[in-house]
Amino acid sequence: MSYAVLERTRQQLGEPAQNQWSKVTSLFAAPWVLDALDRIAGLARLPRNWDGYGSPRIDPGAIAAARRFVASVAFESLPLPNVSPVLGGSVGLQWRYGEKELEFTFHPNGEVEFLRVLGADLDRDENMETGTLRHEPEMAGLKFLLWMTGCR
Amino acid sequence: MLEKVVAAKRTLPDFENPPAVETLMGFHFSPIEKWQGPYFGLFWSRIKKDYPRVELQPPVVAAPTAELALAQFQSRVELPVRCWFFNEDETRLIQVQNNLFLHNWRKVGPTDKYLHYDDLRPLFEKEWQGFRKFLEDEGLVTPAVQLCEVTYVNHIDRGSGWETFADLSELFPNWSPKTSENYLPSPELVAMNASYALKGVEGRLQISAQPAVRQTDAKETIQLTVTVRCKPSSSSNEEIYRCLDEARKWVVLGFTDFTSPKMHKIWGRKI
Repeated sequence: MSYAVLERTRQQLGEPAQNQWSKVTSLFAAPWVLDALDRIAGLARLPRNWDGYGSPRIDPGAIAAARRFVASVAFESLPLPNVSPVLGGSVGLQWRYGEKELEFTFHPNGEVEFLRVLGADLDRDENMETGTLRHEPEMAGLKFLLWMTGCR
Repeated sequence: MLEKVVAAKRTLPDFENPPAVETLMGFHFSPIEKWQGPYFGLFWSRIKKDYPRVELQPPVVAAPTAELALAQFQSRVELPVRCWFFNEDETRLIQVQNNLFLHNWRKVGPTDKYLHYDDLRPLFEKEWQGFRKFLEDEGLVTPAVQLCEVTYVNHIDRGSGWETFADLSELFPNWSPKTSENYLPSPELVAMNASYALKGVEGRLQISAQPAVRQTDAKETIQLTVTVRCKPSSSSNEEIYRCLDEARKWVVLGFTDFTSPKMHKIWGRKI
């Protein structure tokens, strides 16, 4: 991930530049992060067949990817996401902000799919967008989240 | 053999597995007169073989002395840019802006060996001398060093000596979980900032303990940052390196004093 871009984004959001290289997210900066991380970690406790349809246990790689994602987009201006298990051992994160909605699904094979809802009328095709975040998912996801909150 | 000789000379507290994930050392100086953006590229052309990747960064606006604050204010019409030059394996970094030269080392993998100050200081000296030579060759003035800085960034991960913030006093002896009326439960999160005036040197030691999540692996950690900035009496090489060594001494002794013997044992204290 290009931290330089993240660094600029943080500046935009009012955090000063730092001279240290290793990047952490302060748990005071975004109080929702601890809750979100705990909820994602809690998915590891779900047994096989947690949905009654034979789903495998939630994949540890998917859990780790979702946690990394949350740590990378931990801004106070964002609300706590809804955390859910997804069929096939994946992890889902869902943010709602007014009429806008964003869903990210972290799959065991490393893929991150997104669903972007741009308006309330879901019968209109142009109000929904789906796709895969193939490159730097944290960065691409952050751009979507900034769009959702109206920062860009 | 050389490592053994160097280790034999060490007198400051030393640890087998220190929690340091990053160290940085360098100098803050008055803005270099006539410094312009293109000089970043010219400087990079000199170090590109060893530092093949570059990133533009927003500048650090530290201004920890009145002289630096004034100089920074007077030069603020210039384009505010800082350049990061990365070495091949991205374990070391040179940061340059018109009033700052820093050299960072960071631990990338969990099994990476900690690079000691004794190993890093000669590397820093080489890069600083290279920078000074560059300025001289370009006809720019030698920087008037205002502050020497050494910073150690430590990560004390959850599960390594602590589980909840109720355990904090076992990490930091100066923290007490006691309250007057026993009304409050154990804290969910705790952050600390402390500043100490140095004895016998003009400067300050600052310690910050922040609950955080590491972005690379989303592990919960307490980031303990120890920074010493001290003022040299001149910009001579002898004086600024002496000042840098003094800053490092305070960082190591300050870190050891601030943390508990229990944690020293976990980190494998040798001296």
